[in-house]
Amino acid sequence: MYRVRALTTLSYLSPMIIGVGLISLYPILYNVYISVTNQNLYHFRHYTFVGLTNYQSLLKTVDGDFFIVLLRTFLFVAICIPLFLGLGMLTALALNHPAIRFKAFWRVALIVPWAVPSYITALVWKFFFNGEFGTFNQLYRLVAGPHAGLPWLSDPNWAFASIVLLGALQSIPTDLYEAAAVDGATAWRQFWRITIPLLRPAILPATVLSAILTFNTLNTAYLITTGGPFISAAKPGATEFVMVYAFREAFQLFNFGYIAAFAVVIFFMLFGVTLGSLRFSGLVREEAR
Amino acid sequence: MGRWHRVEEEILDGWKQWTKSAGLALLVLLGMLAAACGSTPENTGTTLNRSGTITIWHGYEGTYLDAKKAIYDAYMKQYPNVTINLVHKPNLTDAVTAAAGAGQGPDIVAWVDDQIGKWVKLEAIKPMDQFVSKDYMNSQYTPAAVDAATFEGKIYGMPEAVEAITIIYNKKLINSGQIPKTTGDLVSFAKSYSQTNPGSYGVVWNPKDAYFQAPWIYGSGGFYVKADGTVGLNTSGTKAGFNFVASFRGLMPAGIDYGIADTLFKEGKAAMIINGPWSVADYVKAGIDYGYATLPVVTGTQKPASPFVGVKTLMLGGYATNPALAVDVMKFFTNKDNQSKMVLTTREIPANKLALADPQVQAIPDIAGFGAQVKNGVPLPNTPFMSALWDPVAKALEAVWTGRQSVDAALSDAQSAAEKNVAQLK
Repeated sequence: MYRVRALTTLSYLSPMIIGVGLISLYPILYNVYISVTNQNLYHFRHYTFVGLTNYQSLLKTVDGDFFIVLLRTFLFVAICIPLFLGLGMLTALALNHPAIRFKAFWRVALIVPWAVPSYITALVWKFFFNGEFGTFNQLYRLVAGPHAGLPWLSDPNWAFASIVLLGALQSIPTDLYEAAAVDGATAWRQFWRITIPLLRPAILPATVLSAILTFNTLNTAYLITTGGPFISAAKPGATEFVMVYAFREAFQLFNFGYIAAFAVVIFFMLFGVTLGSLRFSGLVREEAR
Repeated sequence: MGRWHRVEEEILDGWKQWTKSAGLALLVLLGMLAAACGSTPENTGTTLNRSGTITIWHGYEGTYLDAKKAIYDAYMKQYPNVTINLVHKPNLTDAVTAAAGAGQGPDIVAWVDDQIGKWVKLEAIKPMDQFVSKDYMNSQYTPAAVDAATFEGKIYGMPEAVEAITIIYNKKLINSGQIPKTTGDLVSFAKSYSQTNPGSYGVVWNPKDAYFQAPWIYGSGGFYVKADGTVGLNTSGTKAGFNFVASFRGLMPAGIDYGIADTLFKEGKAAMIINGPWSVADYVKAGIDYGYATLPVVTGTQKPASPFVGVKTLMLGGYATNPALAVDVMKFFTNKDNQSKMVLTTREIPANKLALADPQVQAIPDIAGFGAQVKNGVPLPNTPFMSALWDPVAKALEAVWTGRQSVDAALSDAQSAAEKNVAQLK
């Protein structure tokens, strides 16, 4: 009764497997392939196999810059994740509270941002944050006087915080809202004893996925600050995260082989961190049982 | 538990088998792809047959688009078997690069000539000497425009319009006599204008971009990069240009960028803007009564400020399937009649010298205005090494503009960053 032919299982899974293979697996393999070639501006269509040269030069040229960018990106993720988890859980649970009215409206309002291209939201926020003419500083001037202004995007630390805020807002996983619908428990003990354990299977994968997506942030940072503010041409900017750095290298200098090697290294790094965090949270063990 | 193990094992076995065949399929797929990439495309479309589809990637915006579209529409009306697809690409240069990597791309790319060197290396565009003679080019376009469309002796496109930045002023706010003649005067004018008109600015432009600072740097005797890859950011001329830009700190809004400068001018909050021909149609729309003036003479060198002169060019896509037809469309688009008519709306300086000589065209003040500035300009470098410079120069400008670095420190950092980039390109 419980026996299912493996072939049956696989045929049910095949549309997904083929899809993932073409959309994800093929580009990954292709990237690994490019990383062992000399593809660049002068060998764009006619490149040759060069072995591990790109990895060697990556290790050789890895200087302070690369580590600054990497550390900053990890910091960005580390701040974004608790922020969006807190915000997301709060709104998700609030939405399921019996006292909340017009639930349908609020749900739609929370989903709409996902339908708007991030290109557009980024440009709107860029305007909000503008030092002289932006909405935030215009409002701020109402209370703080006509010459006041907060350096939202012009000061490196402020700019970092501004982008963190956006990153957190944009990466709240919708799954949280669905998961919270399972249970509308409200009391504190119920929350910790019932709600959280019930939500855990939804929260953990969502967190891991969002962490990876946040790590790979390019749109928001590049469109709003282009990775800046910059304090020097020789140092990475305050919001120059790993993908912004990679984007510059690949599309301004056309070092495709080199940047592909870079991507492979980042892949293993993220893979390691993800595996580690899953082990740590016990999810792998639990699911396997 | 045991039951589940059985299922797991079976799934695992199936998976192993499946991965074997899937791996094989993937290998075959890769092989096919490699074969497709390796084979030369069939040599069709070398003789002119006016039927088929031509796709054009462009960055035309606003009022420009309508005037240009009208010409393509006229072509389609004349030759009903031809369809011309105009595709607007917001990040055109990246899109062309990405497409070339995949062995794809449009039939025609409409962009500025500074990308030609790079795109030739990337095989994103291809020579069209087979379809058009040098004599034809010389008979139709101004010499500078022919040069712009030529790289390493081959023709890669047909020039459309010439562009450079110049001073555009608001006639309601100042008169032509008030326009500063030297860079020193420009600084003092900006100071006094802001004092007498609080909240307004004497002159605005984007001070954080390499293109917009070229007038000051080249006018001061500096340069960005030479064709052999020599970087000139730590030269005294470039430093002088940077110092001039830095002297406008406090005379323009701190957070200024291209969009803010443009908006300030449209709203009448800036007496002058330094901008190019592409902006003018929108100033007309905003109801600004404007005039032109050439950029001032650099006080230190007594040489006129020298903006980059770019040539908008229709280039033949590297993967154009019907090159003869594409070149025919280019010829039609850039011919005298169509260009004369087009620039009446777009007010661009036509690269077609017959159209430029047309008295009706000469009577347009915009063309006279920008034309005067183009004479003082330097050609926009079309060496691929220029790609290595935009970013470090922009970062150095930002560091100087925000006061985080002195001009000397910023340029010394930018010099080493640019040299590192150039070395990567070599």
